[in-house]
Amino acid sequence: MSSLNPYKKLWSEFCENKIAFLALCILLVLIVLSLLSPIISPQDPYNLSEINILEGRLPPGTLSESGYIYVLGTDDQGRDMLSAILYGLRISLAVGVASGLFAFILGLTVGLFAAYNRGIIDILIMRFVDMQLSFPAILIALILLTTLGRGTDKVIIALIASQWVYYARVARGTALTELNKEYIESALCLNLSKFRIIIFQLLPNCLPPLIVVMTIEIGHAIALEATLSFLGVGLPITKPSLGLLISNGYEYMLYGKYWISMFPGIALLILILTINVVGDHLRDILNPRLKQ
Amino acid sequence: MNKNKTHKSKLIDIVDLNTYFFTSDGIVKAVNGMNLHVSEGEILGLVGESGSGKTITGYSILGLIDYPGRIVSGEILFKNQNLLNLDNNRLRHLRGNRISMIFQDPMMTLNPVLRIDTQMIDTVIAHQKLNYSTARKMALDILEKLGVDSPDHRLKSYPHELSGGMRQRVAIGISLINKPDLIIADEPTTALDVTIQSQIIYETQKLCKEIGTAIIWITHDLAVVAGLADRVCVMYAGRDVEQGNVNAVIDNPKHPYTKGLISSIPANNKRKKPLFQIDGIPPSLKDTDDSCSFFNRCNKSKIKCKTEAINNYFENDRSYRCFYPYK
Amino acid sequence: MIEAIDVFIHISEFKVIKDLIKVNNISKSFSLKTNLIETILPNKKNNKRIIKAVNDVTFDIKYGEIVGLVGESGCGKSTLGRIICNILKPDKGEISFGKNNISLKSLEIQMIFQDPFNSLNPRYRVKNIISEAPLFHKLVSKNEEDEFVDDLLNKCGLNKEVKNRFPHQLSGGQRKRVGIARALAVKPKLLVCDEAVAGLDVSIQAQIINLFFELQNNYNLTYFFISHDLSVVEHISDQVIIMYFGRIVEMASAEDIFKKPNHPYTKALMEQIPNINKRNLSFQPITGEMPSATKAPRGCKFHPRCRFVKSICREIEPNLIEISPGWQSACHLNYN
Repeated sequence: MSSLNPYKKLWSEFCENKIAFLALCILLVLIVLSLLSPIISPQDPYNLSEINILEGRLPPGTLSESGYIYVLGTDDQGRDMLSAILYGLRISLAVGVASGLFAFILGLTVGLFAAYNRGIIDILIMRFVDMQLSFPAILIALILLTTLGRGTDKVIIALIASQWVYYARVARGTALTELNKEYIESALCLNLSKFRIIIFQLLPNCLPPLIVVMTIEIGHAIALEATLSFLGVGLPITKPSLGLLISNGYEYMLYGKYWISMFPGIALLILILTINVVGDHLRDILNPRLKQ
Repeated sequence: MNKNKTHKSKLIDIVDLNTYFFTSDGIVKAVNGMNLHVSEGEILGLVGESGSGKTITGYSILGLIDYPGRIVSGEILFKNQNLLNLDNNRLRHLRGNRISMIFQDPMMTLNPVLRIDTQMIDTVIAHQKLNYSTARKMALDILEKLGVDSPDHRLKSYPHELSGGMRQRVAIGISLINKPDLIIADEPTTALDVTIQSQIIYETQKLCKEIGTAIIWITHDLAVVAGLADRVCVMYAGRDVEQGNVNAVIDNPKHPYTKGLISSIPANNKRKKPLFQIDGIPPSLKDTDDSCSFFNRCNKSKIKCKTEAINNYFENDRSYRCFYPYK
Repeated sequence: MIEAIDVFIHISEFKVIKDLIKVNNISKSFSLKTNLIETILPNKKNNKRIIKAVNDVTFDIKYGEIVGLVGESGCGKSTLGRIICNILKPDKGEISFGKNNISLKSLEIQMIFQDPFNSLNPRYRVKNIISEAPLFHKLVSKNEEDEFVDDLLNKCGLNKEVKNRFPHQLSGGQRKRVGIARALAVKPKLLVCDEAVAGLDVSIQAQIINLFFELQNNYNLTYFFISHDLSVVEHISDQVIIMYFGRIVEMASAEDIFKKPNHPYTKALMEQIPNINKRNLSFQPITGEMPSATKAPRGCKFHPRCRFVKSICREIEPNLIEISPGWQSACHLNYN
């Protein structure tokens, strides 16, 4: 009967895996960098006055006229790649986290609602969820975006709409298991209100598997948004996410100006990879504990 | 203090077994100086409460202790061969063949995706050079003896199609099919209803007497042991505190813990009156040493119990670990 | 469906032979609806999917009594316990409780659960587990909370320091006690104990049973003690009910029923209990198992396993009739 805080124990178990710990560190570095991007990036890539189109397509390491080095080169508009990537990271993370969070809330609510009510409501909701799950997320997002049009908010809505089902499915499954347990029966016996039972008794116990889904789904959301931007239907040009940066530089790959696509690509890769590794490991260590 | 030799030869003799678990919280001494012996064809009841180490003792015999646990010292002599010195290959040859185990949850024995006949026949073929139909006939035979109705139909079923009692019977069948010398039964009937429990005890007892298999029946229920066993061993905090013939131990317990257990049984108390209770809770297995672990719950304890190491005293084929036993 | 009936009222508060709860003709079925089509188009002819967990059960419990309910798994005893606690609603029948129109939704009937792991919310500290309901129902105020919880923990044999711990930091016996404290916190009159001491070590079991005795004295409690362990039931009960396959097969005072059981199932159960004073048994166990709920036998539900079976037993289900004052049994052998 250890008196350790369960979260401390989780943390020490997590850190046992060196790779996951490394991934977490890298992820935290990326997050901090993206949050601090206005401060640390040498140039504001969206401020037209700072960009010199004559300095476009310069390779990494070139000295600029203003005095700093274009560490990762410039793109076709003359934007410093490093700054563009930092800002792009910020956008990608913001969009990914925002859509993940709202999808989580929506999916959790629907899942709990279905599980608590059972019967025909549960069946109808879950059949709808199953139907949506049979379509690839990208397809759903594309269809929605063609009807909704362009814009950051529309992209986030599309991402939420294509993702909430993953959360709903897991939330419902966990809620069903928990609802069979005797502490819920005890709450019923003690005449606690339905609201109190769902929010205070049921919800906290459904969260662990959902946190795992969230980490992995945020990774998916970021990848999905990058894909949409790459295809040109994602975020507007005024807010270039990593996907758009990759798209912009695509045509220059054949001319040997690899840096315009490759560096944003690597940044995106590292971001998604670290999120996935962290989420995977979380799932692994939480799973056997759920069986206790 | 000399051990009297019984005329039946000792099938298995555990001497001073120590199995420790090396966890991040400390060393848990699950088995701490355990002694036990069973003769051929004998039924021994191993009684103890949760945390007493009885299950770990059973696992230690079969070499089923995994990281972070380790058998630290001691001897387990099976037919005069120390099991702790055997390599994995030879242990595997013994398991399921000369020594088998029955678990509390039959699904620990049964594979949910295989049919019953596949599992039983596999057990036979792994240890004996017989063909499929002979093995199947053995399986059929043993299920019949264990009281399984329509055994042929059951053989073709999957575990989830059987009730709890049936599954346990199949698990017992698997463990007995190679006619082992010893079975370790770890609380096999604890999760079952009373009527099913007595059926299974009856059938197992009958079959073991027929084959000549010895049983170590692990349970926390003294009443089951009273009806079933020839000898009993009471465990507390990782070691044996009393051992001997079942009538002798139950009618005339020497160790205060045994006496306390027997007195707390509802049947031994006046109806509607508070039961005799042993105060306190079992000790943590991290701080045990060589002195008596029961001392803080014992109403007869004195300073010597806390400070001096306590070993077994022997008397007429009985043993007990107490400086101040009941007469 | 819940009416208040008061049966015998005496003027003196203490020597009251009053029915605390009367259970009348309670039945409850579960249907195994497995797919969408069956849910949308229920087929009443599809009897195979309907399990009658509790079938026409009638009994009462008097103030201050301990009534033991004995049966094996699948006989419906847990379902019955939950119906009484208002966790499940019966399909048929009525339950009346107390004197002043107290509905079953009151806090006066509480349950003690079997599983010490699952009956406490793993996210709640012990303090909150106990105080949540009294705070919610305004039985106690926020500033009284600490003292209230300390007092209850003490009465249940627990140290104050477990207040801030989580369930996984407690032993099985301690968790049981927390469950008892939680039930007591709302000042119940009737405690339904669903296998409350099953699975506990013998020494802890003795402590918990003694705690039940003590609490009964201190709080004037009445118990409905559901168990499969006959030796415990024999020790603590005043009245005993034996259930088989959803029905009551015998009901009598504890002394009567254990001395001379009437129904063949009761007799078989008594013979099966391992008794510490019976040595070297060659058991003569009863054969067979309780039939699966979807394959109910005709006539008396026990007849396939009964060694006294007659032809009438195979055809007609026996009624529960009084064979002597306060003693009911459902067996054809009693009539002729």
